[in-house]
Amino acid sequence: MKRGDWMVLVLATLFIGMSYAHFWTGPTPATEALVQTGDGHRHHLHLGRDATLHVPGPLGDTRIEVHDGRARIADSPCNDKFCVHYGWLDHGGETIACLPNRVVLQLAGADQDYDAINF
Amino acid sequence: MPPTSLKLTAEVQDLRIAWLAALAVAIHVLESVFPSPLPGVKPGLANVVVVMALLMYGWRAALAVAVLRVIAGSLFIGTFLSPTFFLSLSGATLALCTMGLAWLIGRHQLTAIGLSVAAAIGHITGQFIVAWLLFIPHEAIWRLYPILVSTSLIFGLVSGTMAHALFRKIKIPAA
Repeated sequence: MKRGDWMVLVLATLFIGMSYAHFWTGPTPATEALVQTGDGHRHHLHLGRDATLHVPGPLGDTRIEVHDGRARIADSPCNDKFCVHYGWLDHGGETIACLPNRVVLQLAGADQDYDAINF
Repeated sequence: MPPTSLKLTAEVQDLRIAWLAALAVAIHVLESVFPSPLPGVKPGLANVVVVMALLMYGWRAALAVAVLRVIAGSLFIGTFLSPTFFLSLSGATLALCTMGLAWLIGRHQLTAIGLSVAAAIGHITGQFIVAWLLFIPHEAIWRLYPILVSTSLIFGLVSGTMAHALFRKIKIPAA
């Protein structure tokens, strides 16, 4: 094997590594969380910083938590608590809507998994 | 009066190409008989002959052998102008391009191993591009690409090693 052969091998291996990285990774993680409330307020949370946000709704305060680049509804005054049980969101476009308390939590990132969602 | 018959004389170089192409076609046909453990995976040993043609007689000879291999090989197997044929042709075309590029950049620093690996990766990539454009126009097909390009690296190394060993054993007639 000569020098050129090694060059070809290194380039080929790099190329293959890149192909795995490119074709085998899922959607890019979200970078931002958007919280909308029934009274029209919008809050932006950066997912890089852990935070807790209380937003008011008709039933009381919904608690939204950002931790390790993910976001969830940690607590809600609604009856069924579907929004709480949904768990963590970490990809762009993922959405939790708590209808009783009129709170929507949506993530945004480099690419969105969905263009639009109807309820 | 116009000549009534056209006489073609085969030069030595033509005969060499014909021999090499015949050998490549034989390997191509033989290979197509064996079942593959994984769809889309084939050792591609016919490329050993193309690499040998490149090393012994240069770029034009390699091109001729590769194209003849695809056309004559498909006629023997019965896939001429079928999807298989176009995949084979596109693979051979891009393989020639990548191998030719490597040859152009560093022919004195290369052995059959590097050339074979370059050709193998070009081959599978060419097939994927055409498969995607013509037959399966869905992004999901590219999910398979990393696996197949990895196996092509391995088979490129294997056939390159074979070509390298052959090349060292063979006494090359002057071109």
